Amino acid sequence: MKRRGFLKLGIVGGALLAVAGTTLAVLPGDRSVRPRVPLASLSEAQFAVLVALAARVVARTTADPLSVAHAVDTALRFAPPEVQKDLGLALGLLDNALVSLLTGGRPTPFTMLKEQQQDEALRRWGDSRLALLRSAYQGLRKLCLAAHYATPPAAAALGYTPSIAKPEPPAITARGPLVVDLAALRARDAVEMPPGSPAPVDGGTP
Amino acid sequence: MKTLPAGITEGQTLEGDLEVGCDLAVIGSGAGGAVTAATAAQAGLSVVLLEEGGAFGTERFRQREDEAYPFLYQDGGQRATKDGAIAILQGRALGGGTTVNWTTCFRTPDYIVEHWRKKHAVGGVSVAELAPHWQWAEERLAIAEVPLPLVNANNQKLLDGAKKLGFETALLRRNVIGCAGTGNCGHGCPIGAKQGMLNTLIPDAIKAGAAVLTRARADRVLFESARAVAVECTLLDAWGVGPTGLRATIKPKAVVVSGGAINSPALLLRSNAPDASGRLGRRTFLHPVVAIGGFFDDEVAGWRGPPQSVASHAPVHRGEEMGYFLETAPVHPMLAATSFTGFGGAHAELFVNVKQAAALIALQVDGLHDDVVGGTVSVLSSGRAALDYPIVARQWRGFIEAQKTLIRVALAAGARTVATLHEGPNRFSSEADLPRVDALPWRTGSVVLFSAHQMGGCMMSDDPKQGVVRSSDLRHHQIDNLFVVDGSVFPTATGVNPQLSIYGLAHLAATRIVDGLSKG
Ligand SMILES: Cc1cc2nc3c(=O)[nH]c(=O)nc-3n(C[C@H](O)[C@H](O)[C@H](O)COP(=O)(O)OP(=O)(O)OC[C@H]3O[C@@H](n4cnc5c(N)ncnc54)[C@H](O)[C@@H]3O)c2cc1C
Repeated sequence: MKRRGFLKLGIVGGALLAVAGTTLAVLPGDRSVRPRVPLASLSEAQFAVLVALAARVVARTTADPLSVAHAVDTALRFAPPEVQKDLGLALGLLDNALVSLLTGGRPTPFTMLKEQQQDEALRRWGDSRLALLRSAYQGLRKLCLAAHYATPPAAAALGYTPSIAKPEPPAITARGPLVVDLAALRARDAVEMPPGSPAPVDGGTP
Repeated sequence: MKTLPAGITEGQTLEGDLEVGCDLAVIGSGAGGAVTAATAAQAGLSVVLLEEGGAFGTERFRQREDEAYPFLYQDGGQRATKDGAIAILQGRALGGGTTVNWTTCFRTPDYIVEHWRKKHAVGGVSVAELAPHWQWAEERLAIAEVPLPLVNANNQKLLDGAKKLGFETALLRRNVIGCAGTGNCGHGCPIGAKQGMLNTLIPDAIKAGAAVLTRARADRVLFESARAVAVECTLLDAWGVGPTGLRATIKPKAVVVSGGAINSPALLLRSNAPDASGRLGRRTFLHPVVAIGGFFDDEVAGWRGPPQSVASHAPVHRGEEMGYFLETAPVHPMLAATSFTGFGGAHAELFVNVKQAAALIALQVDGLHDDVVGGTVSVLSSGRAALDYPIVARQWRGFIEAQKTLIRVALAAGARTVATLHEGPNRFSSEADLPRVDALPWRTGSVVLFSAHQMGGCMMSDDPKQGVVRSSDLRHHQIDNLFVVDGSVFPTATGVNPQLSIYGLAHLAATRIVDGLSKG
């Protein structure tokens, strides 16, 4: 199988992907979770697996797995298409019963496992002899954690709040100027300095 | 042919294709590009400065990680080595990495410049020649030692621990004016105190007449009979993700590539630039980082205050073994959450106490040993850059050693528990536990590693068989009117945080480039 993907595949990794490609349809996992809004990067099937995975990664936080999964899908827009594709494939692998069996787990798709079994499956990937699976585990784990802890309420719950009040910036739209000129921008900058701090000096704006 | 007006034109707002001429096209607005653009514009050249990132100003910097990483970092903050082993933090915005960096400033150490001269035939730049240019940067960017009251609890832990172990430590110099210690250097300075390119050399360049075009990604440089004749750009939407469908073509007399490590070699590879050395994209170095979270009884709040104000270079000279130096990292919720390992309950149980955590880091100096050849850049089928960076045995040994030192420093500073960034059992609470460090899973994907310093890939050398550009003015060995001016020209890691090394070298090279171009 010839594949010019992103993750470095060993021979076994390549075989796993071949398996994933041919058996996904045979043992379908739970696809009942639907996205709330159209997806930016993942397929609906991949998204359903991601929601199940997110539920385990951010378990014991206030996070809503569906929101986390949407945030991950949005974040993936910024990654190279090759990375998006590989993470999507990894989600397919995770929900593949045969792959699960071949890597020492039960012959059941991830989305159909009980929570404790899902945790075991994730730990198996994290501890796998295959660098490919460890790498996929890290990638997906980090994306879910980032999606949750980057939100202001989650950050605030840990004690982090911005130290300076700032007004809402203009919305980022597909077109239209974000910043017209730095001088005007700096003049408009309504920043509340903490008491006692020296005034910022102009660094030579035109 | 048209010209662009002085000032910032945002690529996403253009209504049609653009074709402009100029003396000098500079690709990338970071440390190397901004210095070059300002120097050239001030010498009277017409300059177009191209940047694929967005023109975000102080107003937009709201101390939020969910806004900063997608818009100010390469790949929305998700860049990593090809095997995912090393997370790569690298800027992508007007001002490049200097818009999000942590403001630590060091001149290039003598032993590094000397190593380049001896080992890599770098004869055109010496410490004596660089010194006035470092000094220029120090003055222009207000680089000065951090005042003691601004040293935050996180850095105080490093200072205390390192001192107790008898390590030499130093307060850092930073490029700020009126820093209020918001702690948000990595998210774009919310009060404009940081003297990055956005607030200094880019305005200087504009004042001298330079045109800046943002959301313009240079896809390739076109060559005709061994000369660079055009730069072809895709204009990107306001998100910086998709193309608007419009293109910009710049037809300059000379081209300066300043996209930074990884990106500059990727651009030249996409352009099929000649490469007699075979080194294009090779020898890419990362200062790979191992880290720990030290948990203290008192509050650290590692997100407040300047992220870095203390360093120790005590372990930098280790002969045959890998040298490294000690600094800190800011402990913001998202950055820290993705650093600590595990998931679910195991992650949350540790992370809920993150306010008590200090983050200490060890940066490994890669590229000084013969078998540590760094990474290789390639271009994916989508045109995006990828970096293959195999970690060799000597480096793993170095990580283990550095990890032990970090744990010792944290314990000496009074940490109750220290967590390494490995999957599985990774807690240490006394020196007696240190031998267990050897048994941690030291393999890719089982330990979280980072890089915030990318260097090399278009290395300088006066020998065309060894380097992509010559050292005296960073001119490409095969193309007379093509220059590379950024961190990608370093033949090895710099052994210190690289920005001041880049400012100084860029200013020296730009002065010589401008001289050469004015003489015709
Ligand atoms: C989080 C973080 C913290 C850091 N902290 C420090 C610190 O405290 N001290 C220190 O010395 N260094 C620090 N650094 C590193 C330092 O910022 C970089 O080494 C430095 O900015 C590199 O300069 P450069 O000119 O090589 O490239 P950059 O500053 O990265 O600039 C390159 C620019 O070119 C643009 N570009 C690339 N390719 C193209 C293309 N094809 N078309 C158009 N534009 C393109 C990029 O978007 C980018 O904006 C830090 C970096 C990061 C990310």
